[in-house]
Amino acid sequence: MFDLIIRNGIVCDGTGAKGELGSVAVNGGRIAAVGRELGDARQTVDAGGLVIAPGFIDPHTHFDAQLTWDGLATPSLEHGVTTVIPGNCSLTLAPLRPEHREFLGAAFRQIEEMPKSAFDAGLRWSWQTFGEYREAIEKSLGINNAPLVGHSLLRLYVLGLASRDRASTPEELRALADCLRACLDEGALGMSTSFCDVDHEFRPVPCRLATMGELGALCAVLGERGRPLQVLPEFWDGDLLCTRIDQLAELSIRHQIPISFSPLFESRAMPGLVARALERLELQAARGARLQAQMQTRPIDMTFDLHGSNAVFSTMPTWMGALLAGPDATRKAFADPSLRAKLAAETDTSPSPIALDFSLAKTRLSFARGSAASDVGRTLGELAAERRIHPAEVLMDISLAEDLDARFTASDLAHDDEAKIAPSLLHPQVQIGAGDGGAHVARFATYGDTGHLFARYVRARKAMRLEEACKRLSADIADFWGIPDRGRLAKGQAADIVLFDAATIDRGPEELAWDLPDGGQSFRFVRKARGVREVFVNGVSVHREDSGYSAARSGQWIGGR
Amino acid sequence: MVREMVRKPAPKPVRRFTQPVDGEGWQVLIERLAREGGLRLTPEQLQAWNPHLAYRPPSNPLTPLDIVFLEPPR
Repeated sequence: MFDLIIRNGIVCDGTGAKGELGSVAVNGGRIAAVGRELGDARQTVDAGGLVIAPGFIDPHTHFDAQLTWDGLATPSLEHGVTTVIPGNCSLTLAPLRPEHREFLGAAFRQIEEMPKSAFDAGLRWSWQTFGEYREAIEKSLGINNAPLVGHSLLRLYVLGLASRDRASTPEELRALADCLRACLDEGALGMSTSFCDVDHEFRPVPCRLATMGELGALCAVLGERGRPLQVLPEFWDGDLLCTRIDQLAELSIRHQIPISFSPLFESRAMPGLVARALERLELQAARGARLQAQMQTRPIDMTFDLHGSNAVFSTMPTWMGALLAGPDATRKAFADPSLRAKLAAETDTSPSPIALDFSLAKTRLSFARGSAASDVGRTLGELAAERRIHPAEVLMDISLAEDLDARFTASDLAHDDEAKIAPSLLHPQVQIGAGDGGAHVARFATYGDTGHLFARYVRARKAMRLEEACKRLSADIADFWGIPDRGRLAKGQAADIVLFDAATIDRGPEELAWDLPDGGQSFRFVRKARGVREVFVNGVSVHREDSGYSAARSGQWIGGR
Repeated sequence: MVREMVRKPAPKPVRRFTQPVDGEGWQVLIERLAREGGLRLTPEQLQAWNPHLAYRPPSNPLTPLDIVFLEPPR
């Protein structure tokens, strides 16, 4: 007698093998059998011909903060994601001394674009060590959590605020290595670092003050246990990225560790970049490097207001100056005729920001509640032609009229050429990731990339078999990251299972949710799932399409000893 | 098998580069390059070949992990 049998579904077991009609039996949170006639169970679920697949693994998230108030990592879980990897790009919430909470919080919010009100209301800082962070959230997990520890946090913990200014001494380097070992013991799956992030004061994040020697020494610690490293490189430039690939390949070979970097995406602003990177990755793979690029499935869109800076203006110094000076100074700049002319001109002459194909004329007004409300949905180019002014002046005029609250959406900034993207999503040195779940919450929805893969690349373009897509989202990621006993439907594996309709699985439209823990002071963009019937985490049903989330919190911590 | 693969030589760098020593600014970097490698470069040359560094605000100076290309794009 099993605990659970899911019968009568197409079993795509995560290996890429052809899906077969069958059943999956579960006992004690693990898969007990896979086959046709499996006997009886205390609970039976009739899959009704839907796909039974291993739960999806999202390797690039920033759920570190959200998991402290939302152990389900909503809405990722309802899309079929049963394991998340937070702590990317050098940033985590532990280990952290109390005197550094303010700095870290400000840096984290700036880089990952999270509202201060939600961060402050949701976080109850009760930890210093990684183990204490684990203890604070482990019991409330409804999703499996396999976090990395951030290199910036390690440096902040050992060097204090001097980590923002200098390299480590030999003594500090030994302490850093010991601190990393402790974090790996206490629950970190691996480590993350960044070559390009800046904090809230536009200073380098602490990990960027490390030397290659320090990074190598920490990779040696990862190598003692075969643990992974994640890296944010200069992804927007071919020469820089290929140089980083060479450096990371050397670290991977020397220390025998898997390294993944993110993001890698197709862009009209940087044609040929993906092809160059893949060619370099192939060269390094042939030398023995275990190095993969993370590639997202969704196109890159971005919504912004002019209350502060954002990526689309990152190569425009006058704009950055005006936006960073605070709302009053921003309003004053937009009303100053000579500055307006300079700002407008800068949008015509500046290079593409971080490989994004940004066009102000194609950018749409997406939210206004005052006099501009009737223009919502129209592009700045259309409005500029009508008013016989520059699109940047429309942007400034609307922002002034709406007290800077107007929102604008730049669509298809990059990664929207599916014909080019499709082969990359199957490339052996690419893993599907870079989704950024839990971050950039008011810029774009970071959920539903899995559904988008099935909808666009399996169903619409037929670029990938259903079974291959399941494998790419489960076993391939588990194997690369060294996540044991997950990613496949096979006897003995953890019973992370998603039941979905291959004909309808998709991501829903982007919508606003006012569900952050600040009582509705700020919003986030989300996408609901379509076609995902039920999600089981360690053998327990946590979400059903028809009834929503259950009370179960069956997620587990992955990492540690 | 792995050992055989590791013996393959590293591919030639896409461009010659260096990484700054901790605390090094443009001028000190240039002086070091001249002293150690006999390279005679100007700040203008280096900044033109490294727009990713040149466009940064003063709050975000050269760091030891940065890549500084020592030649123009090929």
